[in-house]
Amino acid sequence: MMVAADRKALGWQAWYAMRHDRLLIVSATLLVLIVVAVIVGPWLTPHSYQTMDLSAVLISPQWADYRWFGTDDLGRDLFARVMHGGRVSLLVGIVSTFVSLVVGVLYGATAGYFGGRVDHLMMRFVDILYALPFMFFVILLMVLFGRNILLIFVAIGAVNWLDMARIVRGQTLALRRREYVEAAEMAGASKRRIIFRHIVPNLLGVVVVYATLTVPQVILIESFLSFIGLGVQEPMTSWGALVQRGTELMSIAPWVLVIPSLMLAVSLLCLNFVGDGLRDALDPKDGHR
Amino acid sequence: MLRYTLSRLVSVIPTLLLVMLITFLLVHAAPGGPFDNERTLPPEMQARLQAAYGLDQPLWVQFGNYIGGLMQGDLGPSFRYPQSTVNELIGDAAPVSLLLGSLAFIVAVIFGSAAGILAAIRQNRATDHVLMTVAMTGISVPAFVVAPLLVLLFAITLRWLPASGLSTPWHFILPVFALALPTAAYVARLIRASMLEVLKGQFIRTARAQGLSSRTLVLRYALKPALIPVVSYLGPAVAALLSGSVVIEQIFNIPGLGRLFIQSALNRDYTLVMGLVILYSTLLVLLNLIVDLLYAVLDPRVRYR
Amino acid sequence: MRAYRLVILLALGLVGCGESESNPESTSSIVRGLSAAPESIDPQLARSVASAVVLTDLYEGLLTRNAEGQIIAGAAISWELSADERQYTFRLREGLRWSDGSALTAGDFVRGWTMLIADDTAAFYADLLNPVRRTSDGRLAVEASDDATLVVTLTAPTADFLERLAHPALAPRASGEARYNGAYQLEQYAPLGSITLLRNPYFHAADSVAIVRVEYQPFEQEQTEYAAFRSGTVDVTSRVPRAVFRQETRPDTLRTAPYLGVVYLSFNMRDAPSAVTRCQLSAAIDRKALTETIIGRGEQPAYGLIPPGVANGVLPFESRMQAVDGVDSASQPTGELTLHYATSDENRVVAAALQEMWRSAYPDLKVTLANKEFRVLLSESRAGTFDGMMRRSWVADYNDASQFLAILKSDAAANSSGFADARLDTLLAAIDSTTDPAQRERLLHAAEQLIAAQVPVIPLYFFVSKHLVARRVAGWQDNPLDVHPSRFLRLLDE
Repeated sequence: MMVAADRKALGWQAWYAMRHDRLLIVSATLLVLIVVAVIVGPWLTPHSYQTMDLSAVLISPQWADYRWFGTDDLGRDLFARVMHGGRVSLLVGIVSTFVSLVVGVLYGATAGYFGGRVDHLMMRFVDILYALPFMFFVILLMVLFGRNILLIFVAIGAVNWLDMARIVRGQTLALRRREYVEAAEMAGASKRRIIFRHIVPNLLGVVVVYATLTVPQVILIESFLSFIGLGVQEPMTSWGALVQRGTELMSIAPWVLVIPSLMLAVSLLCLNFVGDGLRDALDPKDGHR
Repeated sequence: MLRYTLSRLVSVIPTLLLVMLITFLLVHAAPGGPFDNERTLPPEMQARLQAAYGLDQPLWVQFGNYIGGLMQGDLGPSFRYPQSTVNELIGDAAPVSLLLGSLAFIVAVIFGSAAGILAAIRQNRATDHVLMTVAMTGISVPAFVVAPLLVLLFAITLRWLPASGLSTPWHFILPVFALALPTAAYVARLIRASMLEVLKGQFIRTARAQGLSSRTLVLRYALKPALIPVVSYLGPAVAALLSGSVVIEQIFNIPGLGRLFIQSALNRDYTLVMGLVILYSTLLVLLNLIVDLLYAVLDPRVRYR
Repeated sequence: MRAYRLVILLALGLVGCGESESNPESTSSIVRGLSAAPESIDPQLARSVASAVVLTDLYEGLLTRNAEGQIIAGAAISWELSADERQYTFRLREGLRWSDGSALTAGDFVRGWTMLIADDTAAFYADLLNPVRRTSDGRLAVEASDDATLVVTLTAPTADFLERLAHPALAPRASGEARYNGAYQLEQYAPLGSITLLRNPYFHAADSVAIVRVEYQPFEQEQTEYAAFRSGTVDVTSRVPRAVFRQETRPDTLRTAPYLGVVYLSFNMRDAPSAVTRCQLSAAIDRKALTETIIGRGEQPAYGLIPPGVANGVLPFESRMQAVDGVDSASQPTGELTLHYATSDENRVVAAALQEMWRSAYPDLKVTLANKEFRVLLSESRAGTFDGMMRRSWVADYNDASQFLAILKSDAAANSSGFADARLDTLLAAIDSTTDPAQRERLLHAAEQLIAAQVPVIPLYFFVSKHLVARRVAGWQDNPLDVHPSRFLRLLDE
């Protein structure tokens, strides 16, 4: 009875993992395709993302004249703009996540490693920041700093590191009790060295998974900022900004909304699926969460 | 448990003080003041307004005055709405957001957990795949794409539902749905995942071995422990829903807290900004406390002293 | 599960009960959209255009405006100007009443005006009364010689004084609780939500007011307002999204008309490129393409600051832009320049278009766009700390040409350019105190020439008013001030 159940569970898990891997592979492939398209895309079209052609306003998508995605209300080529916007959106996602990652990992690892009073104080500070209305904070920073794209990265990243710090701290607390850390401590390694050499590298799995799931979140935040008019500067654009423009024109030029929305949604879907898949692959015991 | 609750409540005070200080400094550091308007005012008028609202005093005096007023429950006059106090404005906007938010919360929890449970029971079958793809889409597509499409379809093309406002029950359907969708999707995913984990656990196997039906098993034994990760997610989610979604309130023209939030920041309505931050932070801190207490109810291993 | 469903139904039901009496289908009531929530409905405290729209229905000044936006007799039935043009004597209508039936006297006007200029009121529109003389103890030289007569003494002859009187900020004020003397009285007010007005039975022309109930609904987003109009819940919108103008056939509900507002680029004259370069920048702008193709809502290209349709100062409209000496032989502009503008859909499109026009005309000039949050932009404008150019606009409070040139007066609050020219200041002062129309027009023309020759600003285009007005609403008259009191509207039988 017991044996049969176990075998069933095993086969069930393997099938489960495989199915999930398939999803992971499909999403990862799509994601790579999107990234490549966004990088290469602007060179494929003869049109620039900022040149206006007032004789070609709101053309629907067509092969003629390389207007694959049509044009917007200023006669700018939508294909070039979607590709350019993709670069900006993905860049915002990656750079902001990286900022939150660096801050969060260092903060969390330090708190977790030292433990005790230091940990308590550091985490108390994180709790306080959690009570700060996050969106509002980003908006305030955007207003304060102006519309600098670099500051968008930093503003979002600086707020997003809180979750990362918490997760990393939890992991570090567990790692600290591992034999090799204790061994290094007994061998007289400095605390700094232990954190950087032994703790941080072992956090990589968790961090990668979490980072993959943070990127889509950040892209959504950027698009939200664009929606309330605090996004990137003209003539630069992002998927969020394109979607926002699209909603205004949807009744007369649906492609201006549909194309960037699809790009945004598909990318976010893929990123989420990849994050999920990685989590399962890297942490099989934890199951599918 | 009572002692734990009390000590947590006391520790809320320094948190709120710090939150207030940070916000206060940030809003005052922002360029542009509350009296920069379409109609540019002469310098002497600016000065007169600054004096009328006490903005000519040193920052620390202003902060002290503010805290003094707060002690008596006075959030101060609004800089943008000369006829109203911050208490009145929040009193006006809060019920709207609270009603909308709680409806969205109920809808999200009901549909989210139903979908999550169903997907877990039917794991890897078509139902599971369809539900989880819908859930993932719900998380991935921004509300400002979904909401205008809903309006275009149901309000303008089909004319089944009103496009904006909140005057009749019909007005609630679109915004509640749009607001609930991402939360429902998140809840569905969380419930499914934790349900699967619980179903693998020892005590479920024992129960199953004792011949209990799947239905009883799921609802009586598996659901309660499966709710724990959901509860921890719902703390901040409820705070976000109740304090209003900016996008939903803008698109459906709902005079709630979310819209007020953005406006107060853009208008440099210092006191209103502070009032809203205090409201939101208090809500968040209290909800986190409730979440921690709920853990103890749901998980017999957790005890607070 | 069933229990939850019940909760939802109950919650929806409770909300429903509270408001089910309101019936938007009722033939004698209309819903009007507002571009923002009015910050106040107190005439002396109000600050914005949205508030002014509501106040126009609630209050009536000594003078008021008709459906065409022209000045007509309001609470005053007649007035006289003294021979030295410094004293007005207003005669109030007989039997004027507040909305609660109590008598309205000339003293109520003194009360309202005194409140407007009081320090602790800190009213935005206090400067409307600048032409009125102050007594030695700082009070206004405005006297109620009896209950029906108001005597106003001015410091100097003021050509536009009667125009000012129709502004809602100069409404009378009842002592104690708020009361109304306009065609409507307040029924319900929520600072952030909708405002409901009911016909005021004590209004002197109440019999001519057709619409019994007016509801004002603020809309932050023009898309939302447009959607509400299309779904039939709003009868009159406060604006129209650009997309509507791009449709194959424009809806017959669309009403556009020239509006007294100008959009211009202001150089920071404290550190500006040379006059020749400024002139070249101005010349490279294709204003026709800008107004017709890019914005496309019927805006008129602007070659000067004074819009067409302004009441006085009928100036030759075309080709007022002057070439600065030396432009023809000058080499093309080079270097870098920043264009600052406030976040908005229209500004964004215009800025992108300007950048592109300059880029194709002057390849060696690099123009950077700086999109700023509105209040950041205003504070930079006030402090004069911005570099390069800033997109500004000016909308008239009343119908007079001199306001549009006064934005370049050296001490004007709206003068973001820092432009200071003593000759212009003298001319503007002369314009203010000149009441002879022909003489005034000559002076206005001279002032405009003086500005055109120095290019401290580049005029871009003149605003249009844009509304969607439901077919069932009649009596709507397009006018350059864009005022549409509800008392002149009526509903057609459906």
